[in-house]
Amino acid sequence: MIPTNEIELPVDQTLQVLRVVETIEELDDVQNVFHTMHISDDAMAALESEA
Amino acid sequence: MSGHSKWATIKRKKGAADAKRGQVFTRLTREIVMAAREGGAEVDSNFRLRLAVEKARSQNMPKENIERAIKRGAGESKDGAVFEQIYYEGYGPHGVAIMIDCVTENRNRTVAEVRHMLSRSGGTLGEAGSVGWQFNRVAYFAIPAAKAKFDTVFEMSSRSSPRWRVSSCSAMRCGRRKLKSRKPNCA
Repeated sequence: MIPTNEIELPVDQTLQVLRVVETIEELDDVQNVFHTMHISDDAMAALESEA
Repeated sequence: MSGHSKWATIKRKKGAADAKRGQVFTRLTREIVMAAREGGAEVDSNFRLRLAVEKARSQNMPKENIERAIKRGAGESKDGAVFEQIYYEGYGPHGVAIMIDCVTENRNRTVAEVRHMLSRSGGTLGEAGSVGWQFNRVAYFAIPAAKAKFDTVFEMSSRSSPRWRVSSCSAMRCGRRKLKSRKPNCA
């Protein structure tokens, strides 16, 4: 599943959405989660520094 | 967190790791069950099943678990629960559209869990079809860059269908419907 349109969000909001996606992924019945957010390089960097 | 007992430490670490692995296995099992139910128990003739089994193997899932899952999907086992696949659609925080692919034996439980997670984060669960139009279903090929020349891959993709796109030097996408007719070329 590929979004036809991606949404750009500021870094902090991107991380927030990613965290939500992660909690959904952790549910037992869930196989895959797709979203329409674009993860910018800055957000990626922030995510890596966080981990 | 070591006190006097090493087991206490191991228990804490192993417990967490086991729980995580169990969750991965559950997910893999369900994918296999779905695949086997839709396309039969033959790994050779059921592409989706083969993919699921390969994925499970790569995660070190025991062979018995895989076989049991296939049997369950093909209806050879008496294990009662019937799984079905559903997509839930909704919006996460900041208006991000989210599609959630679920396999469940109890829709009511799943929908409650998903809705709870979404609404807790400031999102909403929408009607079927409210979000789906924002997505395209595509096939995804990852080709090891070391083994393939970029030119060959690019040529193959552009010859096969204009819908194919080479998204990076080692991966390309195409419309899902095209995949069936093109399978012999790219298998």
